[in-house]
Amino acid sequence: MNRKRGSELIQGQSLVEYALILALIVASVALALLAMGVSARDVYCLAAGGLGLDAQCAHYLHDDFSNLDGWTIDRGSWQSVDGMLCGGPGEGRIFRNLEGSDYTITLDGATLSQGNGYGTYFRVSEAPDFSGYSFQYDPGYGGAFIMRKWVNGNEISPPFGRTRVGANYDWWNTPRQVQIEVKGDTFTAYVDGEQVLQASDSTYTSGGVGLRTWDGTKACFDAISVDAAR
Amino acid sequence: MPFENSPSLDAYKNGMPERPRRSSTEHRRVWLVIAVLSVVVVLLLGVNLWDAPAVTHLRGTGTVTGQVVNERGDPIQAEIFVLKTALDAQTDDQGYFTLKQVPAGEQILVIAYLGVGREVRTVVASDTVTDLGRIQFASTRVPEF
Repeated sequence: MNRKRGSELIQGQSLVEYALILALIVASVALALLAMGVSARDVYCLAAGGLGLDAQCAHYLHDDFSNLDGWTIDRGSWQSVDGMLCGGPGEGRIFRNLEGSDYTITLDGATLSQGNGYGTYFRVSEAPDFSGYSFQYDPGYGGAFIMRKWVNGNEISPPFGRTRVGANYDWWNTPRQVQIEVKGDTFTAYVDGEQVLQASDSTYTSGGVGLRTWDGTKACFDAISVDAAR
Repeated sequence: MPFENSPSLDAYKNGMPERPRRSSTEHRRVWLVIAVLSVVVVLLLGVNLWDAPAVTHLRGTGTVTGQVVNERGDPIQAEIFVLKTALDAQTDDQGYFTLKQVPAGEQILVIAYLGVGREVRTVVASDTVTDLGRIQFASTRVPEF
């Protein structure tokens, strides 16, 4: 009788040990992802993607700007005009909250009609904080693509990423596709499918998206999509 | 199994035979894995908690002071933030500021004036005053290639 109890005890112990190992592995993976700034949603999406499930994770947002529902105008003039979002002139910020850390923003038909440029916010927190990052299509900065950090509504100078563009670049009245890939602490910007800038910063790990105008800028945008990073 | 290979009843005269026990080597190996994983979890927990307010207070805090002036050397009324904390301060009429309870260690201060910010890196020691001296603030947004 005693022997039987001893045998069950040993078998029970090994189950406890294996359960403990499993729990520790799960805890290690979760903590490692947390340390890398990966959100619970990203982990779920990664797992869903790996299992071939068509989870809603793939898309955070698609807006064709037929109206401005879901957007918060922090400052400036923003309107939906003929299915396009148009902003400016003057200092303007429009924001949309997202619970995401790694994603790709795609702006279609982004057209600067006048002024010094426009910006696309990413990983930005809601006003009045307004901390995060922006990628700027910036002829006013000597003709450049730049990435800036924002702290409590203040744009940090100098930008943490910048690249000059050739003098013959057609900045105005040309619809562009602007893409920003936000992954970990590395941000990569593409214009019309061509990589134009890559920069890194680790201050902010998650947040929403938005658009920006300043000075004499007038810019319109056909649509915006935000998809989970691959 | 052929009948002749069946165990004899003598083998069971003292009850059912004991199940084979796991070797002590295997047992040790399992506990070694548990120990290693536990250390990994503790280390990762440490990494995650490193910047938590409770832990930063354990590391100690210090005070940071300085004066913010413009390109001409005139004091300006700027805001000062400590990145990744909720700490902020404003300069006085003479451009001086004092930030207390700044977590010890490497910190990035943001000096902000008229919507433009500049980062200043410093190392704060526990229970000491770190004087950044005169910080010249160029408010221009012009290209700096």
